Amino acid sequence: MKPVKRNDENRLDVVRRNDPFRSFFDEFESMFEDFFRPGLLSEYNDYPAAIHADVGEDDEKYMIKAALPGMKEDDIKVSVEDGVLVLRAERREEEKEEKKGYFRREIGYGKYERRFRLPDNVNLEKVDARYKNGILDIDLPKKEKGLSRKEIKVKGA
Amino acid sequence: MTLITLGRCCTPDIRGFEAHVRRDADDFVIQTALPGVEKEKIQVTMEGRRLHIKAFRDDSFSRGRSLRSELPRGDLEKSYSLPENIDAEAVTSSFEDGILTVRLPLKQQPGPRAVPID
Repeated sequence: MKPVKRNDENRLDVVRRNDPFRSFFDEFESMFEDFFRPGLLSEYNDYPAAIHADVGEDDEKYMIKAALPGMKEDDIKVSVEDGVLVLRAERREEEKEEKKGYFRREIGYGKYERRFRLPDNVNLEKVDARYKNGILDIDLPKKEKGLSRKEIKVKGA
Repeated sequence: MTLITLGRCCTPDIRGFEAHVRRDADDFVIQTALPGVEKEKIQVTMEGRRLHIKAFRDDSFSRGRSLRSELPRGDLEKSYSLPENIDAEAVTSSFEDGILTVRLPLKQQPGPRAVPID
């Protein structure tokens, strides 16, 4: 079946503007729509596998808990690029051993990636990420109400 | 129940968490991803030639509201039927960075032994 490339970005933008929560996640869906990436079991390992995550919020912040078992802090990169939170992780195979009859495969080897489009009210200066017990824990504090408000003085000509 | 057979790899999972079985020269190693699970909430039990792995994963967020839930939570269970040549007494397990590793040594085949002559 031929993949159908959606061409309704303008319409999606309208939806995004009105629904911050939906926009928070839809990078994930679009990742699968836009790219044809092989799954975890594929032979072709250059494409990153998806990182699965829970997302929540309370009054002060958004929270992401992403599953990255078997990693070390240094294997994980977190960045914000044009309003999109990007999680990347990679562990290289230390030894490749595949003798006849034996099969070696480790959890956590290979490339992993996940993107979240962030709502406008995230305070990027205060984003905090910790790794513990196989979980990448990210706190995204919300901007205080009123901080995004700015009065513009009207000058005479 | 997953049947582990000699020299073969299988990729069973626990409700969406990755798990691998691998056969080394003198043992089987079962690795199960259990990210975010407290060590105290994991149980590994040998029952005859069966291995049971049980775990419980709490909700990710104790307060606030959930916007998206992709990680398995609640009771997580997996059982394996082991080959005969596993030394059940020598099974060990460890838990690090969200990965449970169960090591199942194979019974040592007695090698040639010199019999002393009286």
